[in-house]
Amino acid sequence: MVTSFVLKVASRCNLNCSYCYMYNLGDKTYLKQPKFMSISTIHTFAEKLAHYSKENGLRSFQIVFHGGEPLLLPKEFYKESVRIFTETLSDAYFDFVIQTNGVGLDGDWYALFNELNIRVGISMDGPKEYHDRYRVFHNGKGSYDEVRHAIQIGLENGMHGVLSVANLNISPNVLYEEFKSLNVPSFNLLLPDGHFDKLPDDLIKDRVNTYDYTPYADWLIELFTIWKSDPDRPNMRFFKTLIQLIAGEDAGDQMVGLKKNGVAVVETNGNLEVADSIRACYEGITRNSINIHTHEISSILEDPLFDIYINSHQMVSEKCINCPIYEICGGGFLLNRYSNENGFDNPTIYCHDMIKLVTYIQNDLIDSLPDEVCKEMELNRVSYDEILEELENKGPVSIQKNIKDKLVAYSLT
Amino acid sequence: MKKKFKITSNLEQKEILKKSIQNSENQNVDLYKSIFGGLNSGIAPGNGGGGSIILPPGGSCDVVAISGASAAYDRVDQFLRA
Repeated sequence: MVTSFVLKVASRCNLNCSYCYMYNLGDKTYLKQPKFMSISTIHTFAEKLAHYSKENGLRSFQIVFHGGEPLLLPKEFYKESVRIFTETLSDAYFDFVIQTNGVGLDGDWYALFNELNIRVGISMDGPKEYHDRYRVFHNGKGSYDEVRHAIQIGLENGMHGVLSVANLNISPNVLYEEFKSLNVPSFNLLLPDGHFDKLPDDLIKDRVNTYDYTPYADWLIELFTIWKSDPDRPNMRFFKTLIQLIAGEDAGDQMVGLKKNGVAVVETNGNLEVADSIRACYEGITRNSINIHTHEISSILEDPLFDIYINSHQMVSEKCINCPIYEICGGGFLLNRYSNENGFDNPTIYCHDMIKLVTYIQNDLIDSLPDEVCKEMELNRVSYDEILEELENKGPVSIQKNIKDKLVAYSLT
Repeated sequence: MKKKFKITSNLEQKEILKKSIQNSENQNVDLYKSIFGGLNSGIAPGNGGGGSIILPPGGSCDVVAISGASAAYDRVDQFLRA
């Protein structure tokens, strides 16, 4: 069930990050959106959420204030929004979160978010030299100094996590030291958005998913090693989730694991769409006619793209179903699987990287266990080479025709 | 034949793994201890920032667990996952 709603409360941003899926990866949908979400849209959404809650017996929801840049709205908007949600669904539990670029985030904002129980997440791209290359204002000036200041104030005001996009141009050691110097107890990494026909800048098209080309795995393994050897390590969600999955725990998100994706985006005008980074596939892919002013929330369950997105770890290519690490990576993030030729019927652009990384962590965990435990649990080290070899042969499980048809329906050829 | 990749697949195996990590005196294991128990430092669970999480009266508040699906943010780690 979808219980996490990302509200695009602002469709514009005060930054112009070079890799941003909202503005710079091919989709101009934002130009047709109102600049800000109105309180009337919040009201309608809360009423529809109350109905959805009753219909499905749900009492817990996550509301993420997102953009564009959500701090472009006035403080009053947040006071009013939280009041509307908590009064309209008075017996529900809400987890409110805001994701901001940190520009203008000062003590007054933190005080408000503390008062309203809104958790704060800040995006940052590592040391100044790199952050200022990508996360820039519209005049080209970097935003590092303002963001670092916001993080430092945040450390005294409850904020404890920073999100960053993995960047092969930054040495893992330099990135790690940057976050250590910020003193944040937690940071996390996302792999860059992109797909087979719009690769992240660092990837060489002809070499993607070839045997000896695993730049992200090599980078992440180096970072993992640094992190693991640090006795005062901060939390790193990306690695922690992989370790939990390898150990057999129930974990995961839209990138890894087998859980369903329980997230929907509410656009500034009230449209209900799948995660907005999917827009990077091609212009208008996430568009549909579902709007909270005219539809119930449960209408999303009839939308074919929502069907694939929610079930993206079950609807995977044949190669993925037969892959030994399928239960760990779950076929990866939907956007990263896309190609104009096959739609979503591919392993991701990070397939070989994930195999190498997961193999490394699995073997490290096995090596940490006593021999008798490995024997008792019948654990054996597995190599990257062995898995690739296994993938070269056709596996015993075939993809169901109806699932394949759904995945290739988004092909452009 | 498909190789076994998940280290544990049932509760009994999970218990063996956890106990083995918790009881290990190998320094190389402290990362795993911090995740599976047996060590209080290293990875702080935290409860998010910018405010506390309000529990519904007498109920669980795990957004993820209630729907069985993943959320945009982890409940305890404030990281965007969408």
